[in-house]
Amino acid sequence: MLKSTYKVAGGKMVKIKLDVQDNKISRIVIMGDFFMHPEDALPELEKYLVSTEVSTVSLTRRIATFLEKNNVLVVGVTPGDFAEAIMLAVGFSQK
Amino acid sequence: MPHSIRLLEFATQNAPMNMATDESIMKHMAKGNAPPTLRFYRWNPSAVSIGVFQGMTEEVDLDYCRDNGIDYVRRITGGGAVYHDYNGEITYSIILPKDHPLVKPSIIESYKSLCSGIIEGLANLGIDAEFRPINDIVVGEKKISGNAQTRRYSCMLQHGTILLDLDVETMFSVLKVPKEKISDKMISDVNERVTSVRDLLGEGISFDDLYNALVSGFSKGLDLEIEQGVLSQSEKEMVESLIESRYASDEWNLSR
Repeated sequence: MLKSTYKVAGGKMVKIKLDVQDNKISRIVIMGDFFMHPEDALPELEKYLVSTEVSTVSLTRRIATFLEKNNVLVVGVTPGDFAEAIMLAVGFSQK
Repeated sequence: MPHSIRLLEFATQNAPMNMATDESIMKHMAKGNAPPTLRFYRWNPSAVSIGVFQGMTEEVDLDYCRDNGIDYVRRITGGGAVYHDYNGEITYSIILPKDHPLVKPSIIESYKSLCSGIIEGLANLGIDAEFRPINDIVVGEKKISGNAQTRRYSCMLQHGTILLDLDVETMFSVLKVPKEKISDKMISDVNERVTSVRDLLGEGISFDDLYNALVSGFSKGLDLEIEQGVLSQSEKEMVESLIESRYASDEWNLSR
């Protein structure tokens, strides 16, 4: 299982555990000290990311779509931050 | 016109019971069986609570907790890990129906308006504190209170801590900071960023002093008419069942 710890500008932490198969997410756990309302959205987001291609652009777009479609408010972390944390776990951080 | 609110007794409980109490009140309120409620409480034994999205073993040194009799629990609110020192803090919870006039539609705005109770409370002791977005209260640049909010069961819950004293060494031992990194510098860094009531006013301030200041501060800051109250029998029974089914269970506490 791949892991990362990513510190977001502003101070929040995102921690990722994931498995990747054929360059797609097969399993992911997103952890951290951010706020997400409603809270039940996070397990749904994790399911929604399964089969997503592991690239910053695909991940950012898919996370943003999920949040918008489900009217989810995230405080302290952007879709790009989540994507960056995932890319860090797979060893392709751009930062 | 002031908003009527039930004030529960200033209680000292263990971590699962503290968290189960909030949820039991919310679930009763959702059915119209509990009034708007304010409670202040302490944690005995001292405990660490983690945010709902955090990994317990990622954040907390469970061996240290078990060896030193420190509880650990997952909250239903987001945010970070907090060390609740029995000798060093008061925690509060305010639970309101989501259509209550004090609950702003915007979560960010709600933090600010509900934190005015704490700011008034600290002012009662002569401390000039202010709100720092998103969810902190600071004195100068130093944090003295952290707060977290959730909306579920047709309710809004906001809970948070007010530091009376600061035990940085135990805090670092409980939280997963590599022990070799707990240096004098780390401790002095925290002392630069965090303060406490006794830091500011001296050792003479008691828990009762802070509690009384906070009750009157919430009353003034949020325009509350305080009515002393107790949990109903049904609320108490649900607390017990939530302890067993959720807050004392590894399934919940270690779920991430």
